[in-house]
Amino acid sequence: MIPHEKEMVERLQDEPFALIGINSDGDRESLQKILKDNGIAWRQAVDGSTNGPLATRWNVHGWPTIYILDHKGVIRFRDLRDEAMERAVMELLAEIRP
Amino acid sequence: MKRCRRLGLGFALLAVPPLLAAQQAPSGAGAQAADYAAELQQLSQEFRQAQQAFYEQFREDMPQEEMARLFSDPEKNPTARYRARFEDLARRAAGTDAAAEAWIQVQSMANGAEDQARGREIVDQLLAGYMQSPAMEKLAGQLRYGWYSLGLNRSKDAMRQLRQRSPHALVQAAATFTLAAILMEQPGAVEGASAGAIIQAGADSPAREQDRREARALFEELGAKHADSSYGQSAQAYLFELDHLQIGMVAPDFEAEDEHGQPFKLSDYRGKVVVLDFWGFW
Repeated sequence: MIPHEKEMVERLQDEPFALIGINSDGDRESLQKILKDNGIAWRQAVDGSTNGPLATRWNVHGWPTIYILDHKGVIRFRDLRDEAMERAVMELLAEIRP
Repeated sequence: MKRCRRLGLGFALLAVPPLLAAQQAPSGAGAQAADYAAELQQLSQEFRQAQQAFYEQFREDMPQEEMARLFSDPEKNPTARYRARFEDLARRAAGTDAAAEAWIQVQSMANGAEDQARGREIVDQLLAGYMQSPAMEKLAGQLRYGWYSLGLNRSKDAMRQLRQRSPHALVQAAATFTLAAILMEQPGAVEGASAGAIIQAGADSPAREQDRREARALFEELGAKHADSSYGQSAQAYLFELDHLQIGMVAPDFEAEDEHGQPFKLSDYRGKVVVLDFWGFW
């Protein structure tokens, strides 16, 4: 998951694309350490725990849970990983510039 | 139950259910039922400790093959050993709530041990012989995430029976909740595929739409009839997911702080393709 996400973020750095992590590990400091140790550079929402406000509101009960949104903010795919995730993202990028 | 991302083995760790307080002995069974309940409590505690010790052997940098070897080694993995002991207790305690609970424990272990035919048999026996037991709430809890081993249709059928025939409100609520939750995640037509693949494949199918309608009715029933239980409360979160988080819906906006303490909104990203990844290492 993470190795592929890293590659993908790099490959798509000039595209209208953002990967946002919603992290359930702990407070900001502990998250910063995890990001540093694992070389994760994309933006995170600090959700604090698996019972954090975002995980609760989005009814997340399995990790990872993944939502893929198009440029209008519409949910288009769920729970795709790795190559399948990237294919979905490429498809949605193509919709922006047909 | 959390999917275990850390071990990366692609299956869920068995969550050991919290001990029920010793069940009230059914009238007539007298002291013996209470003894079985105490024995079960003791055995469950031992198993939890053995499991904990087992999982402590896993390290984050361990190669997958080595983890798989540990799991399949009956000397190291305590599951098979304890499964036999739970099964023995269930037979001796036949007819008591402790037996029902022990069988439910065996069922989860059979699932995990890829002995799925045995897991199915046990569910059938439980439904035939222990419908009156309040311990059946645990079977419903177990199948919330364990349905994939039992099979989708069997799990749904078991929950329908439980919700209609159990005399206990909490068991009815638990079965209703599990039935609704698996209906919502899984379209009726597909058996045996991974959750993510199913959700993609069937997002717009009529079967999926029908499942979602039924799930909604069940969650609404939980909110109305079991509002005070945890099931009624969780139902609200599922209704939110049905109303706002389905494929084709505009994702609800949120505001959060990032790793630098900088506040941001999801809507700041309009115009971009966004992947939201709920993750953690724990």
